[in-house]
Amino acid sequence: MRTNNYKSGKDIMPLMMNFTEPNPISISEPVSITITYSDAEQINYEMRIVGTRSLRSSMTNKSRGIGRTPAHVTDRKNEIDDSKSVR
Amino acid sequence: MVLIFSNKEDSHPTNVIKHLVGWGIPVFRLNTECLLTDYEFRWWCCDSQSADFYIKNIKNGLEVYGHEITAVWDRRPKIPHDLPIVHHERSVNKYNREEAHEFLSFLRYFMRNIFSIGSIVEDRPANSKMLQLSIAQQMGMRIPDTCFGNYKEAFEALCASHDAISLKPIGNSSVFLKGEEEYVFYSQKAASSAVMQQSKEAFRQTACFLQNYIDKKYELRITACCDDIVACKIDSQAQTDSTGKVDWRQGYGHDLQHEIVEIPEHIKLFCRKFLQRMNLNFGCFDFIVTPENEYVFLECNPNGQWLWIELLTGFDISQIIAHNLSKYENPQHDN
Repeated sequence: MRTNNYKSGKDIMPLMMNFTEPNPISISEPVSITITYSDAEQINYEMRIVGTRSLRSSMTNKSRGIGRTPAHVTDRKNEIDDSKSVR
Repeated sequence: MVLIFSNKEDSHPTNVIKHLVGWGIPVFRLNTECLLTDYEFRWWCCDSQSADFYIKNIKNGLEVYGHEITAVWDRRPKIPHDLPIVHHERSVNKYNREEAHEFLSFLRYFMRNIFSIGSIVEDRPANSKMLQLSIAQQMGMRIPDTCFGNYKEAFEALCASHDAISLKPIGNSSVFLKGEEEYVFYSQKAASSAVMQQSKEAFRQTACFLQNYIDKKYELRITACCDDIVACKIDSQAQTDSTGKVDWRQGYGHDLQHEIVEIPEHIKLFCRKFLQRMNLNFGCFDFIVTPENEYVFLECNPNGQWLWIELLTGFDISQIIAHNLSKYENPQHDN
C-alpha cells in the first residue's frame, strides 16, 4: 500500500484518495460482445460479431532481386468480407 | 402478473423471466429509462372508481392493470431519459424527465403493499451501513469496530486499538481528476500508524468511514430471497492485495474462485431475521470467515448483484427469484 503525497493547501485530497492508487484514463477497446434487448421477449441477448473470411485469391508479382524475373505468386486474401451480429 | 422495474441493459431479469414464462406466469417489464417513449400510462382515482393504473408497452403490445399485479421486482430502474420530443431548450427536456421520474416514484409508493423483491420504499433506509451494523450487533452477530467521522481525533481510539485499518467508501465509487486519472474506490487496508500520519485536513474534507481490518480465511457472498439462502465462498485470500485479497470486487477478471457452500444454520437464521428486521424480502450479505472460523458481518446490499455468481457456479439463483415472485400469482401453481 502506498500513500499519495500531496502539497498542503488546496491540493490536499480527502483521506480515501490518499490511500487509493489512481489509474490513467484510457480509451477502451471496442467490445466484440454487446447486450441487445428484445422487446418481444422482454429479455437480453449477448450479441457477438461474426465475420466470414474471404476465399478470394489473386496473383501478385514478387521481386527476386535486381535484374531477376519477378515470380508470380498466389496471394490468398484473408479479409473479412461479410459480418453480422449473432446471438 | 409480475411487474419488473429495470432497464434494457440489465441482464439479471433474463433467466428469471424465462422461468416465469415457462411456468405460465405473465410478466411485464418496465424499462424506466424509456418510460416516455416505449410506454403509454395512466393512473386514476375518482368517485366512481377506486384507484388503479394502466401501462401499455407500445413496442410489444403488452398491457398491465395495477389490480392484476401480484409481485413487483424493483431490479435496476433508471431515471427516465429517452424523450418522444426533444426540445432545443435543455431546461424543457430536464423538466419532462423530472416529471416522469416523480410519476414513477409516486407509482412505486402506491404499490408499497404488494410483495416486492427490491424496493425503493425500503431499500434506501436499509442501505444505511450504520443501521445495518447496529441491527447486526443487536442480533448478536460479530461486526468490525466501526467509526464514521469528519475529524482526525474521531479515529484515534480505533487506530490505537488495532494495527491495521480498513478504509471504505461510503457511497461514491470514483473520481475523475483533470481528465487524466481515475480514482476507483475499493476498501483499502492500511497500517493504523499510516492513517494517523495523515493531515487533519484530509479527514476534514468529508465524512470518512473506517473499520478495523479483519484477517480472513475466505469471504462469503450470501444471497437471501425470503427464506431461500444461497452462500457463495469467495477465495479472496488466494489473490494479491490489489486483485481481490482486500476487496474481492477487485478480483473481477483475475480468476477469483467462487464455490457454492453450505453455511451453519445460525447464519441462515441471522440472514432471514435480518431481512425481517429491515422489512426486506431480498438481500446480498457480505461476510468474512476468519482463520478461527468466526463469521463477521460486513454489510447487506438490499438490491445487490448475483448474476455473476450464477454464471460462475452454475447455481440457478434465477429460479429462486422467479419462484418467490410467482408464489402469490397462483397458490396452486407447482413450480
